[in-house]
Amino acid sequence: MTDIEDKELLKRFRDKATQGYAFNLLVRKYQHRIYWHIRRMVIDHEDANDVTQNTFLKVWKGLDGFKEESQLYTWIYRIATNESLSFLKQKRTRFFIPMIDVEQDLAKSLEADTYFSGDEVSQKLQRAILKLPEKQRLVFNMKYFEDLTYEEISEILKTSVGALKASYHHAVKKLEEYLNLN
Amino acid sequence: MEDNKHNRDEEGKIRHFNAGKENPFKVPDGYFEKLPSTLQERISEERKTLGKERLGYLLKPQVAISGLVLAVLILSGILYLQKDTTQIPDLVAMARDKQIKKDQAGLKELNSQIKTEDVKTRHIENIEDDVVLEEIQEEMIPQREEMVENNFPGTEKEEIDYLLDNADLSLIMEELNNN
Repeated sequence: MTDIEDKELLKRFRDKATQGYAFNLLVRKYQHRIYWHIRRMVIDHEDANDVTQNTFLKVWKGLDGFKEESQLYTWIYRIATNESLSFLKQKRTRFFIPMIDVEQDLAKSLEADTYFSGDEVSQKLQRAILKLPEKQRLVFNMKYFEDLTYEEISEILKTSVGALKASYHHAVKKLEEYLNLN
Repeated sequence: MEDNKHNRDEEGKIRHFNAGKENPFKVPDGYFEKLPSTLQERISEERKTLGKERLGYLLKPQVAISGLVLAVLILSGILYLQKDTTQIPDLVAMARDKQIKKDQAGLKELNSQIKTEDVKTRHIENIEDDVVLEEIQEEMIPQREEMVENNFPGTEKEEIDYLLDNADLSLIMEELNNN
């Protein structure tokens, strides 16, 4: 199926007669990218599934009011990012555990996850990524795995390109140090 | 240009970790095929929940009480307006009554005026001509006398002398005889 243009999707969504069909097309177009973006942040598939569904529900609720000041996919990405960060924050407050423990918890779920089939090197890299501060982890994933440009990340995270470059640079440096040590 | 150099440098460091970009995560079979329909179901549920929430919101005690107070206020307003509208004909009737009373008073006054005029007319009609003449004479003679008294410029003796010198005696005698 050829991906339909975002403008056409929005046009069809605003028409009540084709709204359901348009939303179905939108989910099919963006579900992979959004799911993987979330999965890399929350690690566990069940959690990623919940956050992905919540993200698309928010998209459905907010799409009528979407003003097209930004690209549709960057808007969806921003919702997905916020949902992921909110989920991690909730996890912290729910179990009264500091940030480092959540990352340890995520690393444990990585080992236990039946839907993780990476080799030892991949596991090692993922564990290293989980050591990064949340913002650096986010920037590293978006740049390295999702191939987004700094401009796109800047639009999604509402952060300057300069700050993103610095963030990515620090992330790479930390990963290098961690992997050399282990 | 600078961006590309920056990216190449960072990529070089990552390759040094010997870790590729391959995705180590997996999803259950058919997950992405099912996700759109799962979402459609959730949206339908969400729509129902939204409807129920709206109903639940309306049934909340605070909202119910507020609604009741509002209904009472609206009802009072309607009753007040209705009362006002029933008062409008009253005002009209009052104005009409006032005008009628005014007209009646005017008529009474007119009648009394007519009656007075009538009485006067009847009184005039009943007076005989002789009496009228008498009355006129009574009224006129003193005036004439007064006029004579007042108009002759001189003493009484001078007046008698004047009459003796100028008056026609035969006419005076004739008049005296007539009287």
